[in-house]
Amino acid sequence: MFERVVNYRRLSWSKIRQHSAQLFHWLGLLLFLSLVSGPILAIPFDGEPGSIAKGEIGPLILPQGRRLQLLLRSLSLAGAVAIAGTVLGVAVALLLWQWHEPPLSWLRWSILALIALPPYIHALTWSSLVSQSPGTLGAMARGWTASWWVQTMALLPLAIGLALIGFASLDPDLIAAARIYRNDTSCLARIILPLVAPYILASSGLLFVLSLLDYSVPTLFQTNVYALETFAEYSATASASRALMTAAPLLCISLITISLAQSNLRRANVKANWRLSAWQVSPQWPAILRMFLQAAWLIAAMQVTVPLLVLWESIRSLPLLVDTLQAASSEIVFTALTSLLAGCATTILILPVARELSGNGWSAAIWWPVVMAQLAIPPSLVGIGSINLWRRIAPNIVYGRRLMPALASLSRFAPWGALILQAHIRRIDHRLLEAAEVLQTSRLQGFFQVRLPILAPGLVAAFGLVASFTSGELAASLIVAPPGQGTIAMRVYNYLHYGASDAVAGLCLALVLLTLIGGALAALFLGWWSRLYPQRGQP
Amino acid sequence: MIVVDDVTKRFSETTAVQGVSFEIPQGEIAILLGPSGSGKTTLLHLIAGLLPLDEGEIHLNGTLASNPSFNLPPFKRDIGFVFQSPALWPHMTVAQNILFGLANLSTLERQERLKRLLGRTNIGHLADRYPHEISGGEARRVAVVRALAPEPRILLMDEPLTNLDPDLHTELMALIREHVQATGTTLLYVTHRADEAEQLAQRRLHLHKGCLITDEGRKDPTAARSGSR
Repeated sequence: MFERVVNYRRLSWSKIRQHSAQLFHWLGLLLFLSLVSGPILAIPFDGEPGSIAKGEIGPLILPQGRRLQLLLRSLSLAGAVAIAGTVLGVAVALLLWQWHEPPLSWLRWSILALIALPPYIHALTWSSLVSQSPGTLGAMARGWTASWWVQTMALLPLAIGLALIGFASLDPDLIAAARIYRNDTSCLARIILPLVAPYILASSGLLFVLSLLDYSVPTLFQTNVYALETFAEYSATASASRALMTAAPLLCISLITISLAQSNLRRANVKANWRLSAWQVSPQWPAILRMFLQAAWLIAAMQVTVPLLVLWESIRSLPLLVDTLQAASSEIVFTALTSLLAGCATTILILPVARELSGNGWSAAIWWPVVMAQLAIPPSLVGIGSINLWRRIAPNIVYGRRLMPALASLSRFAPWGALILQAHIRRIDHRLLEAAEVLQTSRLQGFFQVRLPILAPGLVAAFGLVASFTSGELAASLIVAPPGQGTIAMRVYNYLHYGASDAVAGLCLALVLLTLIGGALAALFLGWWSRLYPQRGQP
Repeated sequence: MIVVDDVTKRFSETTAVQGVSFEIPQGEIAILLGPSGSGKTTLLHLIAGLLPLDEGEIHLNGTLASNPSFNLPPFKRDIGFVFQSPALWPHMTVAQNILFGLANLSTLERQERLKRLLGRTNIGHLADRYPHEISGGEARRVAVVRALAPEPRILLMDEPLTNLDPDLHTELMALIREHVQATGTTLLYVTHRADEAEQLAQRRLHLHKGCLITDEGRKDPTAARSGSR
């Protein structure tokens, strides 16, 4: 009898533990949905439904005349950025992929840290570099061409990173099998590029959307783009519904592009061990391809060297740099805290979502569009939605407080973190987790000794990416930042419009250095982790 | 003909293959035996030119194929290779996978050879299917056919029949033996199964911790070189 009671209690306790884990998982999903998708869902609840006349809805949603031209110009700019960024990104990634010996094999991933360099830094440095040049080149320092070049430079690390993940995910045996029968160029054209195509297509889709939704770079080069219309509409009318309707064409185009990108990413092939190299014997490319790859590499190198050199040339003095940093100390601290908060909250929020995304069932089919759709939302709308949401839910605790930029960044960038973590989860050998399930003495032990160390690289990468993106975030922060508070990006953006080049250069240089240090630290972590969990590098 | 002369391969601090030498005359079948991690696969990759070697030389069909400063590209070595995994290109159909290595033949010859091989291995009905649409056993069969199709002078097989049911195992073994005898191909076959080795050949090379410890059943002892140096 006593034994039966004990067994019954054991059974109940194990059921409770099982259900509580499930409950936490669903709560996590709900929290992600509220914090990430909440702002955009809150926009229609504007509280001023009568503010739009019936006759205005059509012209707002379907752009005509000047706005139609603006939309077409924005689409051409985004298309050109996507094509140039993808071509250069694939070329550079093809070179980096061949770095198979440590430390280069893990240092190559530090290029992802350059994603964190905010676009306005590229805008500043390239415009000051080109404006000093005479003739046609000097004239190119403004307008469509300058916007295209600077956006391409800003988005290049993302294109390189995604293509590199695609190349690294290829099974080396597939390439080895092809090299037995055909030369390396034929293998590239017939085997490698078709297999990496899902990553390349997803990358160009993301570049297109990010360029389409960005107004900070084009406005700095006196190029008007459609993304600015949403911000302008909200500034003029203070109506979130009008802003949403103005953004409708952008939303539709971005959603279509993102849904294509997500279908490509979902069917992309993911190899368990990225450390196995396909190029122990270096490939023999034709001379023209080698020249093109080297040219792409040179352009990618300019992505970081031009900002560093131009900014140092502008400031030229360490005391001046220190003075600038001291003058902006409150913005630096605010930005650091905001980035840290957004990064930490992301790593906690994305755990349950990434698990859903890495599955194959109906749940994954629902969560993929939910997460990816978030990437298609113009940043101004995220800011406007955040105001709408928090003004109603927590007017005194969150709305108008210093937490707002972090929450807006969380809404914008947590989906990126979830995508990174799901990619990492798909690479994990699930037998390790199953073994832990069987052998663990408690769930906590299993979590801390097996799951967490295995998930760590994905979580660290997600944290790093979200914190980096947040540190350069501008469009949503401009809307949600409380009075008297600002991020470094806001301060630099204001300086760029109103002068004070030394101060701008000092702040930008500090940001570049911070990014490079962050990248180096991330590379060190990767190297340390590789040594901690060594795997056979070769057959 | 395969000549491996004092070949060494290191991965950072690990020596995967240590001073291995042997010679397999044209048309001979040799079995490479050894426990996991003994360097069998590495040796096959070195012969195929998929890995650079650190010391020694490899000659294939009388031509220098590899030394520490030279590596003849794999596609110029006139070899076929069956990997441990089927390694079928997932974006190509079964027929396209097999035809990939037949680029130097005319369209008519390619189609004829494809038809003959598919018919011989009873996988004609799979020609238009993609690798994810066929079973593991069928994928193995396609991988073997893909390696045989170009009729290379040297065949390298890395445990090609692992985890197959007995009937399919026997069928593929017969196909390989028949093809090698008919075309005079040199075959180096990696396995750790003694029964498989017995079925296929007398010549057995035993690797242990990267060293060649025995070379049994050589037909012409004068042509053979010493084992591990």
